[in-house]
Amino acid sequence: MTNDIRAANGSDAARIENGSKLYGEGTARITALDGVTEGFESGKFTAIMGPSGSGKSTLLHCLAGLDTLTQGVVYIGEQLLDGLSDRELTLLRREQIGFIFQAYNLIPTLTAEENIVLPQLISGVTPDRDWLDQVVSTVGIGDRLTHRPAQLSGGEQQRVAAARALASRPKIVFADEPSGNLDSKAGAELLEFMRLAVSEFGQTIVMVTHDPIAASYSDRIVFLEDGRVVDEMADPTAERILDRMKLLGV
Amino acid sequence: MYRTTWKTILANKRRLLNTFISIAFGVAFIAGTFIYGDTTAKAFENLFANAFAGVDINVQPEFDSELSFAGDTVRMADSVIEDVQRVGGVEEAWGSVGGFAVIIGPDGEQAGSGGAPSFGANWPDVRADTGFDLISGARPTGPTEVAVDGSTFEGEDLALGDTLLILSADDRREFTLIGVVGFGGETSIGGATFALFDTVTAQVFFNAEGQVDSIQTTVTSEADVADVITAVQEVVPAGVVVTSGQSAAEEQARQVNDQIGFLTTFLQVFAFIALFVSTFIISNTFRIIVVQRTRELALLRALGATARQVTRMVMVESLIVGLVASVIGVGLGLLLAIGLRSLLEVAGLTLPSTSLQLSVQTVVIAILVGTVVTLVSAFIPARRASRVAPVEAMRIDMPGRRGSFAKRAFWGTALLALGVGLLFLGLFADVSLPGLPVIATVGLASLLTVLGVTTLSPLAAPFLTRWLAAPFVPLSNITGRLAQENSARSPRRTAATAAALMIGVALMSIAAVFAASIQGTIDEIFDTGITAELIAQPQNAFSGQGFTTAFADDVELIPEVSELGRFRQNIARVNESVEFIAAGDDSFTNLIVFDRVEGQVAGLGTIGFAVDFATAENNEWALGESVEFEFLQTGVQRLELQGLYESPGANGVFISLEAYEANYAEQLDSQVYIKLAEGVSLDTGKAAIAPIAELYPTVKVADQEELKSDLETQTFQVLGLIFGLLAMALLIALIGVANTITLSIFERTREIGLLRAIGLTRRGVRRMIRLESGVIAAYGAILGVALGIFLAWALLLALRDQGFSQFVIPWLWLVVGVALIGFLGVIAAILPARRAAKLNVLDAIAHE
Ligand SMILES: Nc1ncnc2c1ncn2[C@@H]1O[C@H](COP(=O)(O)OP(=O)(O)O)[C@@H](O)[C@H]1O
Ligand SMILES: [Mg+2]
Repeated sequence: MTNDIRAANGSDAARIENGSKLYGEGTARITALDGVTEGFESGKFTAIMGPSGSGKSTLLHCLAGLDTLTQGVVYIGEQLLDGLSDRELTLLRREQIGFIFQAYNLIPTLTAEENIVLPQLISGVTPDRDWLDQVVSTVGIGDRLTHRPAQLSGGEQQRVAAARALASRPKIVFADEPSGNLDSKAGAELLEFMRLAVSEFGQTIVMVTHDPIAASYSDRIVFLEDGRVVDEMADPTAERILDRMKLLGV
Repeated sequence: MYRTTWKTILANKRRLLNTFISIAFGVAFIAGTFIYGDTTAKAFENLFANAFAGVDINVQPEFDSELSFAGDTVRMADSVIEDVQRVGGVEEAWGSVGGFAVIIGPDGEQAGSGGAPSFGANWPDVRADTGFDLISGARPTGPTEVAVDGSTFEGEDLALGDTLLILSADDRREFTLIGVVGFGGETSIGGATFALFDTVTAQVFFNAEGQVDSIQTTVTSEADVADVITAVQEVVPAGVVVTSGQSAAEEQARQVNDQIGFLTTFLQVFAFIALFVSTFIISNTFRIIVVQRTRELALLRALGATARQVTRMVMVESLIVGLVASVIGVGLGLLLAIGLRSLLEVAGLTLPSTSLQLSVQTVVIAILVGTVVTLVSAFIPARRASRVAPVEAMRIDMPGRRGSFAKRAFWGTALLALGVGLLFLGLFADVSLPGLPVIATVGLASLLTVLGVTTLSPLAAPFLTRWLAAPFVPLSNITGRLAQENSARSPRRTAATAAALMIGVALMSIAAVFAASIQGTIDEIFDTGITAELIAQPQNAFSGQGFTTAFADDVELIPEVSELGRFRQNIARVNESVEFIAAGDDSFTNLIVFDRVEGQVAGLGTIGFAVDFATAENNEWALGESVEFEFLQTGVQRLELQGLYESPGANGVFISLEAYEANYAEQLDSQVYIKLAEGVSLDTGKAAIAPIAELYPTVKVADQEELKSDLETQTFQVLGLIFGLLAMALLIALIGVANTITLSIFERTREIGLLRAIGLTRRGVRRMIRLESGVIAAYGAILGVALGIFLAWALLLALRDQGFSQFVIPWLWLVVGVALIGFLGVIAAILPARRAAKLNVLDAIAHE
């Protein structure tokens, strides 16, 4: 299909090699990431799980070019992030990365539609109308496009954010607890859409979550503990995740 | 809980910084004007104290200083000196006489700078200290010797032995420079040029043969000054006052300071405007801070703080900020006083100076005003803080409390309607509020109009700012659109910020429209009101001094001139108020155009006067009415209203030259109107007059076009001064713009983080914020210009009787001005924008 954005060679959409991240100095020193090496396959939905403080968000931020590693390297596609200037990183985020944060994803002064095409508006390129219509109808907010964020429910807001993350057809979408603030129904709708984006459109998604149900929508789970990858699981179900979490003592 | 206040201020220091600066600047301006006024007053006191240092008793005819124009005095017979000398206890008595004396330098140009006057006097030959010190050379004796002040000596590069041409009111002579004089350590008296002669020479030169202006004495060491004063009073003619030298010094300093008091008042008006503008910023800042701290305040309330305690906490914060900023403002005021002095000098006003005078009164007033203004401005936000409900501590969203827009629309419209209505009533129906003259009614109406516009402004802000930003949207992708939305986002904040700017810009616009209209009126006067091709007037237009009548006598004789009109100007008290009196010969009345005359304007003799229709109507005078005039020299005289006129070239009270000569001592022409003979071209006429004009260096002969452009230059010099003084208000308002931008960046930190995360570059962030700032500034400027044009139109209408016949809007200036202020708004946001762009993306996203 034309909208398949899976990388042709099926290689990793993002990759971290021997990544470490240290915060603070001396006795206050914290190792948030400790030699993480991990690839995130193109066209797959990967979840990152782990106890609070295990370094999930740090990993996501470093992968997304929002933060820099103390040691190690990150690739987005073929592009090495190391040594890129702030401007180059910004352009990379704009063109190749999509984001869904836990909350406050939208600019309150812009309409839902403007929020969805914001990255394209920023770069001044005309959004692809067909693609946009497809995303919008899949996400199910077609009738709310002219509304401002304040007029949307939390679930709708997150779905608008998800639509935005997809609208520019990025190489990879990063989501940090996207359903964390939503009730289970709204959360399910959002996750359903994310799942669809991967299986229907071939999108690559990396999502941080501590919710086993949310994680069960993914193709693969990476478990973090104390900044290290301690386990992974393919084709997860909620029960298997729960079992594994018990095992890991979360 | 006040223990936390100081910490709160420190924690909010960046938010408070701009407020702090605007208070300090406003207070600095207030303190600066006081310091400048005190310093100038002290300088005059020093000058007179020095002049009278060696004088025990001063004898001088009493006169009404209000009626003294350009230094006119009343003289007495010099025989009084001998009478005074004979009084027991008087050691030495001498007379002083002076007048205008223009020194012509060796280059043929008038000595001295710009607006400073030119004086001359006698240097008495006595042992006592006359206040004149010989710096070099010798005291002048005999009819051909002169001494000049040290500043002129140096400034004109003179040498002892030089021959100087010196002009008095009706004499011109060459003198040999024999000495250089100082004044108690100073080389100049307030920048004026000074020429000194021996007493008899001065009496002749100043047309005061047998007369003196005043007499000074010393008393013998054993005599009691008070007793001698009483004794001297016995021998002097009626109307002559005898005082101690010290009180004469104080009195003269007081008179001069009264005369320049308007200047301090004038400056203070601008200082208070600047402070008024800063009230918007103070109140805006506290309002925003209170909103941003809603959760913290709610938590305090939840923990049991009473509403009153919360109010008091915010008030104590504002008290500390106001107090500290005011103290710093006083310090800045010292610098500003120096700046004011330079500004006035550039505008042609040179006044004597001495070390800066910082009085306790200045410190107290400035600090008090600054602090009180801060407290008052913070009061409403503080009240609002107390109304924060404890439950708001639990809310996640930033609360955006809004007042009722309907209420605002109602009050704004009501104020505006009241203001405009009153304005129209005052202007067109001549209705004024009981006990107020029309101009005061118009002033009050203007104030109401301004308040109305300020109240309505938040309603208009979203639309107008969107519209203003619209042209930039297609140029800048989304940043323009975001800026557009952001400036429309908090209408009250945008409006309050813009209002501060609006006031400064409105005043500037009024000044600009006035300047353009005055220029239009001047053009109109020359084009339709004056038939003379050439006009002679003083080189130094600011001093108010005229020039010798000999010039007109000489010009009248040349064949190229067909008619010559003499015009003089002075003041008199008419109907209880001091008015300008214009005088001209019959030829003058032939050379200006009268649209309408009832009775006569020529041939008024010594007992008649004419006046324009509007003035007659205001005074309820009819033809034939006998009106009381009070002149400095001749006291109360009755003149008969013999003519009513209307002319684009003249207005006010007009008398004949004969009446002028009968009632004023000094005969100087203010203007001479010259009509060339049939067939004589402008150039030929000018060429014919040039050799005569060269003999009178204080006179400038110009054709109408030259005069128009001269007057234009003068008008714009004054406009420049006013702009300079309003610059502080504008600066404070621009700080206010930066302030609002800084505070709204605080509020939108998370949003900026998000934009950065999804791909807005730092440059994009900067551009967005700068554009937003520019739009707010331009909005304020547009409101200001619109308001300024409207008010200037109203004021000009109110002043139409005073001869303001034209209403000219300098569109180009105003449009350029708005664009410039928009640009300054962009500049003002450079630092906040840079700071916003440097925000760490992750911190910003995590920001609460
Ligand atoms: N900016 C920071 N400064 C210091 N320590 C940090 C910072 N951000 C995260 N940390 C620490 O790094 C560790 C990992 O944090 P984070 O990646 O947010 O974990 P998670 O998202 O899995 O809860 C934690 O111990 C946290 O306290
Ligand atoms: Mg986290």
